[in-house]
Amino acid sequence: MPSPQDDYRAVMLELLFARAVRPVSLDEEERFTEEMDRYWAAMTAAQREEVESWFKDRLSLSGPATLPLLDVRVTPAARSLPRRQQ
Amino acid sequence: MFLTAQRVVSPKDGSQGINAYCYTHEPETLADGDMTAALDRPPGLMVRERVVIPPPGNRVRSFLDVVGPNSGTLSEAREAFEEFKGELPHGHSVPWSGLARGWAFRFLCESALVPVWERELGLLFEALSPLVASPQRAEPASTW
Repeated sequence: MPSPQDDYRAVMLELLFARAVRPVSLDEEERFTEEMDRYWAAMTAAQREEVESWFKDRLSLSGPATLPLLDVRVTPAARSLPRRQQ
Repeated sequence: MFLTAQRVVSPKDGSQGINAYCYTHEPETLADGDMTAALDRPPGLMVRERVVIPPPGNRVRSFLDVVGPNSGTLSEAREAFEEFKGELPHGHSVPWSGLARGWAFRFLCESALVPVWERELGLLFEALSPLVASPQRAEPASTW
């Protein structure tokens, strides 16, 4: 059975993914937050510390704000990649 | 074979999805057995694709490149992918690349996708899967 910190992590990652790939409405944000609040309340102090540390590490990973790449059409038997530098 | 899956976003309406492509390598490309170097060589001949957001001109937000033997199977690719994924992240900044079970992998994404890299990497690999499993052109999948 998943622990509250596992559940919290899963919901937080779901929210981060949703924000990354589509618009998230305020209502939806609120539902995510309420769910996370429930798991947060069920955690011990040590579990909260562990989750915070995990997210701190996770959010320290970095990448470029955008990739300077555009896709291109490739047809069967093409010999080039389906993307190019902008 | 050279496989690449890329998340793209349309500049027209903001719709996004993952397009995937499968190429067969010329025998000489892999003659030296250096799969990692093959990531930077010409990909070979495009033989199958799975297009969700029609190109061209879409912005690429992430991609996964995979190089393996032309005769490689999906189960071999999956085992190698799981091993590669299990060793990530390689450093605190993407791109991440590595070699597992004779397959080479390279992953790059925008900063917004980095905290959720497992999910994104998994989706990119799953977009490639039908191209390895079947010689037929795959049906388009749903967006994102």
